[in-house]
This record gives sequence, C-alpha cells and structure tokens, in this order.
Amino acid sequence: MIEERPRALVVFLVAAAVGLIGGLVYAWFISPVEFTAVEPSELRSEFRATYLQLVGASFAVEDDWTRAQFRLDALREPKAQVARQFAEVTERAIAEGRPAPMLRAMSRLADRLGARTAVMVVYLATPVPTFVPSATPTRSVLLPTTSPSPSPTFARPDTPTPLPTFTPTPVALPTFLLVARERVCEPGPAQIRVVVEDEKGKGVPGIEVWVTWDDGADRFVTGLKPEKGSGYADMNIQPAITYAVAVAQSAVPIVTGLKTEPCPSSDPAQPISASWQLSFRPIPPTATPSPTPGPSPTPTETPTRTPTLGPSPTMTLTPTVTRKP
Amino acid sequence: MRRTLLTIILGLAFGAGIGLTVGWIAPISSPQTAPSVLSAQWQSDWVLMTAQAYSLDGDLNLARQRLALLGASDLGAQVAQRGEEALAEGLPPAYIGTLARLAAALGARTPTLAPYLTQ
Repeated sequence: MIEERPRALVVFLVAAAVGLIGGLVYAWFISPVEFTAVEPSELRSEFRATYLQLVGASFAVEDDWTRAQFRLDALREPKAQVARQFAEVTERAIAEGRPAPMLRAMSRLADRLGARTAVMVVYLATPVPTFVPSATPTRSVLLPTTSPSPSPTFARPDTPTPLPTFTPTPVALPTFLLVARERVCEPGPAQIRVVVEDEKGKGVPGIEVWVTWDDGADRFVTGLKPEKGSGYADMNIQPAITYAVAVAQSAVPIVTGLKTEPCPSSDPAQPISASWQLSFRPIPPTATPSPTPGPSPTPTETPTRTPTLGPSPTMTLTPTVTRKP
Repeated sequence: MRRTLLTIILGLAFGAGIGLTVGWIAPISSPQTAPSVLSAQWQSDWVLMTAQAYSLDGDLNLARQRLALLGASDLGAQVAQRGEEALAEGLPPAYIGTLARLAAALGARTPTLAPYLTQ
C-alpha cells in the first residue's frame, strides 16, 4: 500500500504529461484558434500600414481630429509608436507622389501626433483649402463598436476633445541662397527654371527642388536635362497661380510670390508668358544658421530669406526682364 | 489494475485540459490577422475610408485592392450597401457621395445613392 501511492503518482504524472502534449498539439496544430470580429489592433503589419493610409485619407475628407484619433486608438499601441508608424506611412505616400490634398492631410495628422518630419513641412506650409460644412442637418456620426471586447460606440462629442500638447520639432532652414532672379520672356510655356550652383559657380545635379502653390506641390531634381546644365531643372507653370520655391532640405520656401505674367509680344496672335529663372548657391558655412524650432503647424505665411551678398557681377537680386528674340 | 487505469485516464484528462487551455489562450501562430476578419463595424469603416481615399486619388485599382482585403466577392455591391447604411446612419452627404461614386465606379448604381453622385 505504501509503495502503491508513489507508483500511482508517477503513473498520473506521466499520463498528465502525455495529455498535456496531446492537448497542445490539438490546440496549436489540429484545431488552432480562429480569429473573427477582431479590431484593427489585430491586423498584421502590412495591413496596419494600409489602415493608417486610410485613416490619413479619411482625415483629408472629414477633417475630424476626434474621429481620426479614435481610429488610431483602435490600434491599441502607445501613442508614440502609432505616431512613428503614421509618419512612416506618410513619408511613403509622399515618396509615391500621392495627391496633394491627401499628403497635406496626412502631414497635418502626423504633425498633430507630434511626428512631423522634414519632408512633411512643405505640405504643412501650403495653405489648406477652406472647409465647407455641409448644409444638410446630420445626426451624430457613429463609428464602429468593437467586438468582442466591450467598447467603443463613438459619437461625435458636443465639446471638443482636449488636444495633445504640440511640441515643435526643428525645421530645416535653407542651405541655399537665391543669388539671381530673372524674368524671361520667350516663346514656349511659362516655366520656373532653377539653376543650383556650388560656391564656384558649377552646376550641382541631384538637388531636390520643391514648388508649392495654393492647392498643390511638385518636386523635381536638378540635372535631369544635362543639355541645359548639370544644375538645371524646370517646371511648367500656369497663369493666375502663385508659386513658392524651396531648395534641397529647406523646410521653408526661399522664393515666394512667383507668378507668370504676359510679356510684350510683337505678334498679338502668339502671346508670350513670362518664365522665372532662379539661381541658387550654398550659404557660406559661417552664415549657416543653426536649426531652431519651426513655425506653427499650419502657418499662414512662410518666412522668406532675404539674402545679402557681396558685390558680384553675376549676382543680382533685382528682377530684370530679358527679351529673347 | 482498475485503479491504475483510472489514474491514467485522470492524468490524461488533467494534462489534456491544461494543454488545450494553454494552446488556445496562447496560440503558437501569430494572432495578427487580415482585414477580412475585422468585425462588421470595422469593415464598414474600412469601406468608408477606402471610398474617401478614392475620392482623393481616383485610383480605382488601389480601391479595388483595398476592398478585396475584406474578402467580399462583389465589391461594388459591398460599397453600395455601405452607402445605404451611411444614408440610414445620417452620415454627412459628402461621405455618402464618396461611397456612391466608388460604388458607381465599381458598377453598382442604386437609385437611393444616385442623388449623392454629385455630392
């Protein structure tokens, strides 16, 4: 009897171990748990990126921070991590050249999440279209309730939700100065032509140039037309639109208020619109300003640098009209 | 002999119970999933956001890909149905308009959503 008890215990433990292994094999491989009715927090990373893109697009249409925040909260991750992921998705969207309104909204949302990066600043600096509220009376907007865990039936609150404190991040200042700005009248489409040179006046290829206007932005790179110079780049512009130009990593436009205007033409049947030729050179190292906290998230006006340069026969800041035959 | 058999059965049951509980609570495969298993409410929101993204980029292929992740066979019908739900929920006409336009682009036009095509 005394010997039987330990033996029975050993038998029980061996049987339990076999049962445990059998149970795990069944639960993990034969009949694994299946997920249904999950929340966005359960999405795989690739789908999570798609979800974040959709939240950004939706924010562009709805312009509703509370709703966007609710959707982001559904990821159930620390805010800093969501902000970082959203910033990555936004940068990817910018690199893919998604439509400007979407990029602007995504940049604003990233900024609001405290994850502004240099590439977003050009969209933050562009004026935001006026939001026109719907004239039709609407009921409260319902967002999804989550299941199975009890939670959120979302209703638009009557009072605004307190927003997180905005912490400004450093903004890259221009590293190039405008050294010449020339109005050019010649047949052909009106353009903004940019020439980026080094300190010795040699064209610099591969410099990114941002052109922004009221409801859009475009980016091009110098050196893609080598026949016009290794530091040359251009872009066609439209009448009645005011453009601003930023060069390299500059977060603020260096030149603003560029507009094409009619040029005097000898043939009234063939009107000529003025182009702008802008030349840039690096700021001398001693004059390079250190980064400082940037402007408010959606500035209404962007600062313009006024270059001061020593006398040079090739450098002029006064617009001149060149009439080419 | 009978007692030993009973001990074995009890041990197996005890071990299997623990194994099943642990195995289902802590699955070996990643619990992270595809949008097709989102709850109905979140799937509805996915459709709405897809329509809003389409209203911005006009990229029908991309919208199709995003909707296909939900696993529905008739994407147009799914969007149209969401549009009608949005109408019933009293969402702003601009939101319903995005759904109506995407549904129409996917070949699903309904009389109730037709007035919102121009919203």
